[in-house]
Amino acid sequence: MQQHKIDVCLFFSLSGKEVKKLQGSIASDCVLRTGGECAVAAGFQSVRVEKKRKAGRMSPIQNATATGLTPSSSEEASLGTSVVEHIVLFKVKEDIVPEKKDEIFKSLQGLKKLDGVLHLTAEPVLSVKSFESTLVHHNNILCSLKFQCSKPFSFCKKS
Amino acid sequence: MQVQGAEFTHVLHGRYKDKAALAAYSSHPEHVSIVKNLVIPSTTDIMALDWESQPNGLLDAPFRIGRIMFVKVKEGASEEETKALENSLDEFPSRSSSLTLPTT
Repeated sequence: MQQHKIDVCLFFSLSGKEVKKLQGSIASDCVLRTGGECAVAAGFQSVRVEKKRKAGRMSPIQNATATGLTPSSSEEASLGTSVVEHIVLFKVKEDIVPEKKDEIFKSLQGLKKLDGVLHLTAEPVLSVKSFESTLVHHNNILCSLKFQCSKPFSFCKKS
Repeated sequence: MQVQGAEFTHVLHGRYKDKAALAAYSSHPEHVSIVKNLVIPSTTDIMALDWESQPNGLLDAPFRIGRIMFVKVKEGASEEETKALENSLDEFPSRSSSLTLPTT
Protein backbone atom coordinates (compact mmCIF):
# COMPACT_ATOMS: atom_id res chain seq x y z
CA MET A 1 0.00 0.00 0.00
CA GLN A 2 1.46 3.30 -1.02
CA GLN A 3 0.32 6.41 0.74
CA HIS A 4 -0.58 9.36 -1.42
CA LYS A 5 -1.44 12.83 -0.41
CA ILE A 6 -4.76 14.01 -1.71
CA ASP A 7 -5.97 17.39 -0.58
CA VAL A 8 -9.47 17.73 -1.81
CA CYS A 9 -12.08 15.29 -2.87
CA LEU A 10 -15.21 16.26 -4.71
CA PHE A 11 -18.16 14.07 -5.32
CA PHE A 12 -20.91 15.29 -7.55
CA SER A 13 -24.17 13.74 -8.41
CA LEU A 14 -25.92 14.98 -11.48
CA SER A 15 -29.35 14.72 -12.99
CA GLY A 16 -29.75 13.91 -16.67
CA LYS A 17 -30.20 17.59 -17.53
CA GLU A 18 -27.08 18.56 -15.67
CA VAL A 19 -25.09 15.83 -17.34
CA LYS A 20 -25.82 17.53 -20.65
CA LYS A 21 -24.74 20.86 -19.25
CA LEU A 22 -21.62 19.32 -17.84
CA GLN A 23 -20.75 17.67 -21.11
CA GLY A 24 -21.06 21.03 -22.76
CA SER A 25 -18.68 22.55 -20.32
CA ILE A 26 -16.10 19.89 -19.67
CA ALA A 27 -13.33 22.41 -20.08
CA SER A 28 -14.94 24.73 -17.59
CA ASP A 29 -15.64 21.92 -15.24
CA CYS A 30 -12.05 20.95 -15.04
CA VAL A 31 -10.71 24.28 -14.18
CA LEU A 32 -9.20 24.91 -10.82
CA ARG A 33 -7.84 28.35 -10.36
CA THR A 34 -4.89 27.38 -8.29
CA GLY A 35 -4.38 24.11 -9.99
CA GLY A 36 -3.86 20.62 -8.78
CA GLU A 37 -0.71 18.76 -9.50
CA CYS A 38 -2.80 15.74 -10.23
CA ALA A 39 -6.48 15.40 -10.45
CA VAL A 40 -8.45 12.34 -11.29
CA ALA A 41 -12.10 12.40 -12.07
CA ALA A 42 -14.14 9.31 -12.51
CA GLY A 43 -17.66 9.41 -13.84
CA PHE A 44 -20.04 6.61 -13.14
CA GLN A 45 -23.66 5.76 -13.51
CA SER A 46 -25.83 5.58 -10.48
CA VAL A 47 -29.19 4.49 -11.77
CA ARG A 48 -30.00 1.99 -9.09
CA VAL A 49 -30.67 4.74 -6.62
CA GLU A 50 -33.85 5.64 -8.37
CA LYS A 51 -35.38 2.21 -8.36
CA LYS A 52 -35.67 2.11 -4.62
CA ARG A 53 -38.13 4.93 -4.41
CA LYS A 54 -41.73 4.09 -3.86
CA ALA A 55 -44.46 5.24 -6.19
CA GLY A 56 -46.89 7.87 -5.05
CA ARG A 57 -44.55 9.80 -2.82
CA MET A 58 -43.75 13.41 -3.15
CA SER A 59 -40.65 13.90 -5.18
CA PRO A 60 -37.60 13.77 -2.94
CA ILE A 61 -36.77 17.40 -3.49
CA GLN A 62 -40.26 18.58 -2.55
CA ASN A 63 -40.27 16.27 0.37
CA ALA A 64 -36.94 17.51 1.58
CA THR A 65 -38.01 21.08 1.26
CA ALA A 66 -40.95 20.28 3.43
CA THR A 67 -39.17 18.31 6.08
CA GLY A 68 -35.49 19.01 5.72
CA LEU A 69 -34.92 15.29 5.91
CA THR A 70 -34.03 12.64 3.43
CA PRO A 71 -37.00 10.55 2.49
CA SER A 72 -35.59 7.15 1.71
CA SER A 73 -34.78 5.60 5.02
CA SER A 74 -34.94 6.44 8.67
CA GLU A 75 -31.24 5.73 8.85
CA GLU A 76 -30.41 8.16 6.07
CA ALA A 77 -28.45 11.09 7.32
CA SER A 78 -30.43 14.25 7.72
CA LEU A 79 -29.15 17.50 6.35
CA GLY A 80 -26.22 18.95 8.15
CA THR A 81 -25.32 15.63 9.75
CA SER A 82 -21.81 14.45 9.20
CA VAL A 83 -21.34 11.19 7.32
CA VAL A 84 -18.35 9.30 6.03
CA GLU A 85 -17.88 8.84 2.31
CA HIS A 86 -15.87 5.96 0.91
CA ILE A 87 -14.73 5.81 -2.69
CA VAL A 88 -12.88 2.89 -4.23
CA LEU A 89 -11.61 2.77 -7.78
CA PHE A 90 -10.90 -0.66 -9.22
CA LYS A 91 -8.87 -1.72 -12.19
CA VAL A 92 -10.35 -5.05 -13.20
CA LYS A 93 -8.09 -7.41 -15.13
CA GLU A 94 -8.79 -7.51 -18.83
CA ASP A 95 -9.44 -11.23 -18.95
CA ILE A 96 -12.24 -11.17 -16.40
CA VAL A 97 -15.49 -12.20 -18.07
CA PRO A 98 -18.57 -9.97 -17.73
CA GLU A 99 -20.37 -12.53 -15.57
CA LYS A 100 -17.54 -12.45 -13.08
CA LYS A 101 -17.55 -8.65 -13.02
CA ASP A 102 -21.28 -8.74 -12.32
CA GLU A 103 -20.71 -11.15 -9.50
CA ILE A 104 -18.03 -8.98 -7.92
CA PHE A 105 -19.93 -5.74 -8.01
CA LYS A 106 -23.31 -7.21 -7.15
CA SER A 107 -21.70 -8.86 -4.14
CA LEU A 108 -20.26 -5.53 -3.07
CA GLN A 109 -23.61 -3.81 -3.52
CA GLY A 110 -25.15 -6.50 -1.35
CA LEU A 111 -23.15 -5.11 1.57
CA LYS A 112 -25.58 -2.24 1.73
CA LYS A 113 -27.52 -4.34 4.23
CA LEU A 114 -24.78 -3.97 6.86
CA ASP A 115 -25.45 -1.71 9.83
CA GLY A 116 -24.42 1.88 9.42
CA VAL A 117 -24.25 1.71 5.63
CA LEU A 118 -26.45 4.49 4.33
CA HIS A 119 -25.77 4.06 0.66
CA LEU A 120 -23.68 1.80 -1.51
CA THR A 121 -23.27 1.65 -5.23
CA ALA A 122 -20.67 -0.10 -7.38
CA GLU A 123 -20.66 0.52 -11.10
CA PRO A 124 -18.48 0.50 -14.17
CA VAL A 125 -16.65 3.76 -14.69
CA LEU A 126 -17.97 5.83 -17.57
CA SER A 127 -14.84 7.85 -18.02
CA VAL A 128 -11.70 8.84 -16.20
CA LYS A 129 -10.05 12.13 -16.90
CA SER A 130 -7.06 13.95 -15.64
CA PHE A 131 -6.80 17.69 -15.74
CA GLU A 132 -4.03 20.07 -16.51
CA SER A 133 -3.11 22.20 -13.61
CA THR A 134 -3.47 25.93 -13.50
CA LEU A 135 -6.03 26.14 -16.23
CA VAL A 136 -8.04 29.06 -17.36
CA HIS A 137 -10.49 30.80 -15.15
CA HIS A 138 -13.94 29.35 -15.25
CA ASN A 139 -16.11 32.41 -15.70
CA ASN A 140 -18.18 30.71 -18.33
CA ILE A 141 -19.67 28.14 -16.03
CA LEU A 142 -23.20 27.45 -17.11
CA CYS A 143 -24.81 27.35 -13.76
CA SER A 144 -23.77 27.77 -10.22
CA LEU A 145 -25.01 25.13 -7.87
CA LYS A 146 -23.70 24.71 -4.40
CA PHE A 147 -21.60 21.75 -3.60
CA GLN A 148 -19.33 20.75 -0.89
CA CYS A 149 -15.68 20.07 -0.80
CA SER A 150 -14.28 17.94 1.92
CA LYS A 151 -10.88 17.07 3.22
CA PRO A 152 -10.17 13.37 3.02
CA PHE A 153 -8.94 11.63 6.12
CA SER A 154 -7.52 8.48 4.64
CA PHE A 155 -6.28 7.37 1.30
CA CYS A 156 -4.53 4.27 0.10
CA LYS A 157 -3.50 2.68 -3.13
CA LYS A 158 -2.67 -0.87 -4.05
CA SER A 159 -0.20 -1.45 -6.84
CA MET B 1 0.02 15.38 -18.68
CA GLN B 2 -0.24 11.71 -18.02
CA VAL B 3 -3.68 10.65 -16.98
CA GLN B 4 -3.22 9.13 -13.60
CA GLY B 5 -5.78 6.52 -12.81
CA ALA B 6 -7.02 6.39 -16.38
CA GLU B 7 -7.19 2.65 -16.33
CA PHE B 8 -9.70 2.27 -13.56
CA THR B 9 -12.72 0.34 -14.73
CA HIS B 10 -15.12 0.35 -11.81
CA VAL B 11 -15.99 2.55 -8.91
CA LEU B 12 -17.68 1.97 -5.60
CA HIS B 13 -19.26 4.70 -3.56
CA GLY B 14 -20.37 4.00 -0.03
CA ARG B 15 -21.79 6.34 2.55
CA TYR B 16 -21.67 5.46 6.21
CA LYS B 17 -23.18 6.79 9.38
CA ASP B 18 -19.74 7.49 10.86
CA LYS B 19 -16.14 6.30 10.91
CA ALA B 20 -17.06 3.41 13.20
CA ALA B 21 -19.65 2.23 10.68
CA LEU B 22 -17.07 2.30 7.89
CA ALA B 23 -14.62 0.40 10.07
CA ALA B 24 -17.29 -2.18 10.90
CA TYR B 25 -18.13 -2.53 7.21
CA SER B 26 -14.46 -2.93 6.28
CA SER B 27 -13.84 -5.62 8.83
CA HIS B 28 -17.16 -7.41 8.39
CA PRO B 29 -16.54 -11.07 7.44
CA GLU B 30 -18.74 -10.81 4.37
CA HIS B 31 -16.82 -7.79 3.10
CA VAL B 32 -13.49 -9.39 3.89
CA SER B 33 -14.53 -12.53 2.02
CA ILE B 34 -15.67 -10.61 -1.08
CA VAL B 35 -12.45 -8.62 -1.14
CA LYS B 36 -10.27 -11.67 -0.66
CA ASN B 37 -12.06 -14.07 -2.98
CA LEU B 38 -13.50 -11.84 -5.67
CA VAL B 39 -11.92 -8.41 -5.73
CA ILE B 40 -8.23 -9.05 -5.14
CA PRO B 41 -7.88 -11.92 -7.64
CA SER B 42 -9.68 -9.96 -10.35
CA THR B 43 -8.03 -6.56 -10.07
CA THR B 44 -4.60 -5.14 -10.71
CA ASP B 45 -5.07 -1.83 -8.95
CA ILE B 46 -7.31 -0.37 -6.30
CA MET B 47 -7.49 3.14 -4.97
CA ALA B 48 -9.59 3.97 -1.95
CA LEU B 49 -10.39 7.28 -0.37
CA ASP B 50 -12.45 8.08 2.70
CA TRP B 51 -13.58 11.44 3.91
CA GLU B 52 -16.09 13.11 6.14
CA SER B 53 -18.79 15.15 4.60
CA GLN B 54 -21.91 16.99 5.54
CA PRO B 55 -24.44 16.17 2.87
CA ASN B 56 -26.10 19.32 1.72
CA GLY B 57 -29.09 17.65 0.22
CA LEU B 58 -30.61 14.36 -0.69
CA LEU B 59 -28.80 11.21 -1.49
CA ASP B 60 -31.76 9.29 -2.75
CA ALA B 61 -32.71 11.74 -5.45
CA PRO B 62 -32.95 10.79 -9.09
CA PHE B 63 -29.45 11.60 -10.14
CA ARG B 64 -28.01 9.62 -12.98
CA ILE B 65 -24.33 10.20 -12.98
CA GLY B 66 -21.79 10.63 -10.28
CA ARG B 67 -18.43 12.20 -10.68
CA ILE B 68 -15.53 12.14 -8.32
CA MET B 69 -12.48 14.34 -8.48
CA PHE B 70 -9.40 13.82 -6.43
CA VAL B 71 -7.26 16.90 -6.33
CA LYS B 72 -3.73 17.27 -5.12
CA VAL B 73 -2.83 20.86 -4.50
CA LYS B 74 0.55 21.91 -5.81
CA GLU B 75 3.37 21.85 -3.36
CA GLY B 76 4.20 25.37 -2.38
CA ALA B 77 0.68 26.64 -2.91
CA SER B 78 -0.09 29.25 -0.30
CA GLU B 79 -2.94 28.97 2.13
CA GLU B 80 -4.73 31.74 0.25
CA GLU B 81 -4.38 29.86 -3.00
CA THR B 82 -5.72 26.70 -1.47
CA LYS B 83 -8.61 28.65 0.00
CA ALA B 84 -9.26 30.22 -3.40
CA LEU B 85 -9.33 26.77 -4.91
CA GLU B 86 -11.87 25.55 -2.41
CA ASN B 87 -14.00 28.65 -2.80
CA SER B 88 -13.90 28.44 -6.57
CA LEU B 89 -15.34 24.95 -6.40
CA ASP B 90 -18.71 26.51 -5.65
CA GLU B 91 -18.82 27.53 -9.27
CA PHE B 92 -18.72 24.06 -10.68
CA PRO B 93 -21.83 23.14 -12.64
CA SER B 94 -22.30 20.20 -10.42
CA ARG B 95 -23.53 19.10 -7.08
CA SER B 96 -21.62 17.57 -4.30
CA SER B 97 -21.85 14.50 -2.21
CA SER B 98 -25.56 14.74 -2.54
CA LEU B 99 -28.11 16.93 -4.17
CA THR B 100 -28.71 20.44 -2.99
CA LEU B 101 -32.14 21.75 -2.26
CA PRO B 102 -33.70 24.16 -4.71
CA THR B 103 -33.05 27.76 -3.80
CA THR B 104 -36.48 28.98 -4.84
